[in-house]
Amino acid sequence: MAERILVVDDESFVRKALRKILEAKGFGVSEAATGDEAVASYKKERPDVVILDVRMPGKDGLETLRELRGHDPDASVIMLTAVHDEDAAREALEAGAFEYITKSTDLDYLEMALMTKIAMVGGEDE
Amino acid sequence: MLRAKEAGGRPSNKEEGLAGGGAMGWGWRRQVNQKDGTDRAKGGPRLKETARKYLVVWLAVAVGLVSTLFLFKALRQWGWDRLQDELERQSQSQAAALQRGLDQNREVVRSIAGLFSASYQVERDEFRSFVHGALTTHGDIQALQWVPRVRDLERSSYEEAAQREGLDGFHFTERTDEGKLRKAGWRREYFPVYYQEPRQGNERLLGLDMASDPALLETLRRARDEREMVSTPWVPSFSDKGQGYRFLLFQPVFRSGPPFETFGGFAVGLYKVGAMVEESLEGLELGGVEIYIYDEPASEGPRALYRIEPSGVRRLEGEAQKVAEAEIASGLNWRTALEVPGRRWELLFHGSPSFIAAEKRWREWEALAAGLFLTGALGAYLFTSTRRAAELARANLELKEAYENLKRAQSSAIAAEKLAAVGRLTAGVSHEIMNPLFAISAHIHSLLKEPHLPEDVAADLAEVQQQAKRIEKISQDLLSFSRRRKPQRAPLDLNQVVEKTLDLVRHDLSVRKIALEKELAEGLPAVLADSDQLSQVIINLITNARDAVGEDGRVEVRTALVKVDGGGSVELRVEDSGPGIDPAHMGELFEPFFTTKAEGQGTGLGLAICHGIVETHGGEIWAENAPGGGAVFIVRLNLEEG
Repeated sequence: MAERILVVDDESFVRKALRKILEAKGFGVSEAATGDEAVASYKKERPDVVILDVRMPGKDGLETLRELRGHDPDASVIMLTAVHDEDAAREALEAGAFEYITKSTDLDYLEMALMTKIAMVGGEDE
Repeated sequence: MLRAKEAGGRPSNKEEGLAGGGAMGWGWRRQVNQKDGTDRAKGGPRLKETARKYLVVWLAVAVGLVSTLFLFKALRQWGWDRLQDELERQSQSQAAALQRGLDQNREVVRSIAGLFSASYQVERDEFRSFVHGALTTHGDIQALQWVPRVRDLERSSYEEAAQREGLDGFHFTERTDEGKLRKAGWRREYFPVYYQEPRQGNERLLGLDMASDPALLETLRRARDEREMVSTPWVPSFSDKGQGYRFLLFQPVFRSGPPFETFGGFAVGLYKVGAMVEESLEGLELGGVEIYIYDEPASEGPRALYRIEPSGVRRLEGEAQKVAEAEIASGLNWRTALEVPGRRWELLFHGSPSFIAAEKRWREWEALAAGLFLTGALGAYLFTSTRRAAELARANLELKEAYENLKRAQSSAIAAEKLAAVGRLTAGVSHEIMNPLFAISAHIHSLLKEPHLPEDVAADLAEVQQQAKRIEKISQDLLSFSRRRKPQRAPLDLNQVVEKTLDLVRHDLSVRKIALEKELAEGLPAVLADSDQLSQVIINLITNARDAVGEDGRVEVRTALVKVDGGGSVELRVEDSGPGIDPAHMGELFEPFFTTKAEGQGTGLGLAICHGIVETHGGEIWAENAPGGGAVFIVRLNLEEG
């Protein structure tokens, strides 16, 4: 069962909202605001799952994904995007992302989707 | 491109295969690859108009030709009349000259007769000096003669008297069948040439008994019996003096009492036809006029044809006569008759080709040439100018069309550019909205899970959450409208897509107690389309219908194969039992953000999205009011377009 999750998003309020949801479910959450921070944090903390925003200033989500996967081919990354973009989704899945989820106001659905995926990652780990 | 249709304005050729569609007479649609019906209909009227334009040219040419021909015929007739007049004018004077010559000859013979009837005894010398004047002035006289009637008993005394007068060996003679002279045989009466001037050249005639020739005897008897001058037919020369035709005029001489009138003989003139004609026509130009003379008896008898030629008079017989008569029959002629004692001489003046050539002015041909030239020039000018006008009109039309096309292309380019910009903008805006919206929702979500939350606060939070969802929906609709994805088309069965889509909406409709009916045509051909996008269209149209009918309403989905000119299409119809579409809204239905739904119920993008998808498929979408009330949305996808 996964326990530590790294949330990467350039918007602090998004990170905060995700932290709130995940902590409520009992996960340990760490944050990163940029791609570089995320890579550094990953190396240091080795989280079980990375929730990675696609669109970020500087190093964007896809680049960060590739870097993370380059560093650790087993890294479990769930891409989280504000706007659904099929091309970006295809690209991310090809680059080794575990899932591609759109930020939604339907939090019940989002929560369920995230939990299912995280559970699957955990299952893989064991 | 948006096109509002006027009443009844939908081209009827689009109606085929529709079950009562468009029967309301109004309706509008947005068309892609729109072919204006008038374009196709242009061929017929344009051809007719062209024909009408050129009709003037043909009319002008026809009038020109008819006038030319009329003028030609009139001038030709006038030319012939003029020729006829000219021939008559020339011929009349020649005929008069001939008649004059003939009359003079008659007078000479008559005067001789007068001499002999006045006195019983006319001496040979007396005769000579009497005719001397006539002989010197008339070159056509071969001989003037006194032919007395001599009874057989008087023969020898006549012969002896002549011998006494110095005519050695004078005898009454007659001609043998071989043409030789011999002493005349015995007859009861003789008509010998007794006096004759000039003697020279006519020696063989002196003493010749005219009664020995049966034909002459006949003429003599006739002249005596009728007491009139009689002419013989024209006969070949029977003297030894040259060739040619001769005729004789016999004037009977009667001597009156006492005791009673007696017949004395004939004053005779022997004439050379050739010389007579030559003398009469002397100084007159023949000028291409051929003169024929028919010599025929006054009563019945054979008719002889002579032609007057520069070399003399020639009799035409057999084949030559036929040829000449055929020639005469086919030309310009003037006829008259000469007064000849006891015979009929018909004079025929024939205008030969050389006469026609000399006299004719050929005005009709000049007129014909000029008329044809003018008509041709006029026709060519009218034709050229009409064609130039038509070309100008056509060029103008082409220019107009090209301008319209350019304008259309420009506006569609601008629209595409705008759309791309809107897409970028919308994506950016959506992204910026969705992040805070997500955060808001997440926080509310967390808050709502707080225990001991006052009920009114929880209700307010739920309301905020609802509105956040609405914002998200608007954002998504905007995105799918602006981000027009290129359809990934594959052959598909429209019915299958409909079935699959109906499965998605069936639950939603049944919850709202809305009846969903379908009528799918069997054996639809496959159409090239993007299944997801098509499904999106169907969902949007059904959602639209759903919102229009309310509870206990009815939504019908139908498919059909329709044939329209130029190919076939598959058709999807979504009909509802709602209030229908206000005609005033027809023009705006597919505009983005147009909605008639209650505030907060719709974004006004559903139909705009449908239109966008159908457009990228090269199809058509439009709305109508159904005859029984309610609205119908119709989508057509061309088969050849896929």
